[in-house]
Amino acid sequence: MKVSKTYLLGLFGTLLISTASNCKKPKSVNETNPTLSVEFNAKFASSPMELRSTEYTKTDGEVVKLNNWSVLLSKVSLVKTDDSKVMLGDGYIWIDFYNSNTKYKFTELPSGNYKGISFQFGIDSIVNHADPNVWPATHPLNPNLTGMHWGWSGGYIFMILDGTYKTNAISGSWNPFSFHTVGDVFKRNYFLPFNFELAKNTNKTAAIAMAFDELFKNPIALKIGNDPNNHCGNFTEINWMEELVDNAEDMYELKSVK
Amino acid sequence: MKITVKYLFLFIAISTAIIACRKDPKTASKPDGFNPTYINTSTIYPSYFPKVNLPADNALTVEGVYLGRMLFYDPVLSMDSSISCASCHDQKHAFADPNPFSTGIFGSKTGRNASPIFNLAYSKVFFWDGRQKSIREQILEPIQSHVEMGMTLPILQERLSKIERYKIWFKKAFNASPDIFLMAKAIEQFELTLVSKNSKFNQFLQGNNAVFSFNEVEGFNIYNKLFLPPSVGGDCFHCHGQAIAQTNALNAGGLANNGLDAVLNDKGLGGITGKSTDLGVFKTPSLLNIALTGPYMHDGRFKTLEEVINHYSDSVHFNSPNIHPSLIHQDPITKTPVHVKMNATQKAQLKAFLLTMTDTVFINNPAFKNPFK
Repeated sequence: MKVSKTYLLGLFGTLLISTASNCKKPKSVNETNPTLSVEFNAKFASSPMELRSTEYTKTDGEVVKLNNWSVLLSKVSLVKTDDSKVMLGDGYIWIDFYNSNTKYKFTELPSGNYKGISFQFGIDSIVNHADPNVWPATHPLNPNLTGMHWGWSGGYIFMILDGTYKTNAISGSWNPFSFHTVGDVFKRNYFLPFNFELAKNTNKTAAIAMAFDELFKNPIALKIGNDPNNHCGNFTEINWMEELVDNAEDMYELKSVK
Repeated sequence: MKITVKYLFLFIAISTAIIACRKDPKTASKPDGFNPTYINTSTIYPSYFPKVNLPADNALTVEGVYLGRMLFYDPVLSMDSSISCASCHDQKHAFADPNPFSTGIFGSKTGRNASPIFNLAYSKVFFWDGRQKSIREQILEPIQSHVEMGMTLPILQERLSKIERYKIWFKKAFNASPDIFLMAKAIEQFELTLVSKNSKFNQFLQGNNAVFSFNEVEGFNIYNKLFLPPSVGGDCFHCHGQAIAQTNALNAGGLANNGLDAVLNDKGLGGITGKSTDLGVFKTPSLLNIALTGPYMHDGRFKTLEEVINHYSDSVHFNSPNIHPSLIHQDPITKTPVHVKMNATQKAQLKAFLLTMTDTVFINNPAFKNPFK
């Protein structure tokens, strides 16, 4: 009987300790799903572009200093080799080169082989014209965070480009320019090809280059001085902005995933 | 002996279980007697304003806000006990100063116009030159400024520690003795409750279009219309958009040069950063309560709204260093910058709209008044 009591007490104690140890979160021994950071790098003719300091000369001779460059993207996704897509977060990304808001980290991604990254420049019409005040304070669509919403007057600015320019390097004075891309018509879809694998327990970075100079080259050469303050306010401005946005197809390049 | 060992074993087992299962100390209940009443901030910030993150380490409590309110109105915060925060931030003027420059201790004058205080949760930078990044950091500056309150923090700490009401209310708000940095957090809490949301403009934004007269609607349209020469538009919304009538994003007009001077008398942000690209750049204020917050601009140079409108319509200095590009519009033919040139009717309509932003509920709210009166 004494032995039984001792045995029972011992068993009870063991159970208590076992219960106590269960109160702690078990340490995971499983493999973790891959993490991918997506970073955007401002470039001018393949070199890193610095805002608010360095002058850059376009191929047409115009000299540019860029103060602000912000872009809204949506549906940012990894594209698998079978063409299925994996949305990164909720797909929205706000790039702001001046404030160095250029890198987003995504965890718990499916491992596998991918053939590139796709995204939409701008956002869908329904979201674009819905109440912007529903978005959390740190979300890319929060207007107070990004300054990329036109208040009550109509949707998001898909891209802000503000700076100063001279007509050429020798003569002329610095004048401001301001391009704000506003309107559903400017949405564009892009696919940036690059084969890469995301394996378990890996943490990689996808580097996307955005070449400012490409905005003014192909298929249509554009001079800043022709319309230095374009906020898509009339037919002429919208036409010019469409040309700029069409040129942007050559602007994005997925340089590496490592 | 056997029993003792058995019970010792049992005691260790139970103790281990209790220790293992105890709450994280961070989430454990507060010491006895400290039980502040947390404020549901959804009652303060309207859903049609952008969402903001309030300071995670300074949750609003009834006690903290009341302590902050007392401190805001208490002249003991100045060296000669003559000046409080409220001396230069008058509720009747949406917590702005009706004088171009404020008067500090011993009659000294500030170098810039005192900014209004409301809807600060949406701001990313503070002061006209945007040199501070949080409300609590901002608060400590005028207290120590020689031309404002002239106080030193050690003296103030000692002074507050001797005042019975502060011993009581710091305990209630923070479970602590009077402390300078908790003082700043308490005033931050009070200022975060100063939300202006009851103007006619606010009603209009919520869909009550009938509150606006014809001229107010026309003024609203001018405010939101791009200037596309020769078609006139005020284009005010670029820097004063959203329900808060203010752009805070620093990449999109939250800090800007609005073309006041061709030759700068005040370097603005450039005086802080030393960068040529920041010269003449100042924080963009909200236009809510604009009829109450004059005189206008960082130096209070404009006494009336008419003068402000005339500046943007007719007098912007296009050659001002770092002028915000949204203020430069080219004539489509001559390719030279042109002024908006509103006519008298358009100016009057724009002013009529600006007057709808006056929030009389805010400036009469008893919760914001001097608690010592």
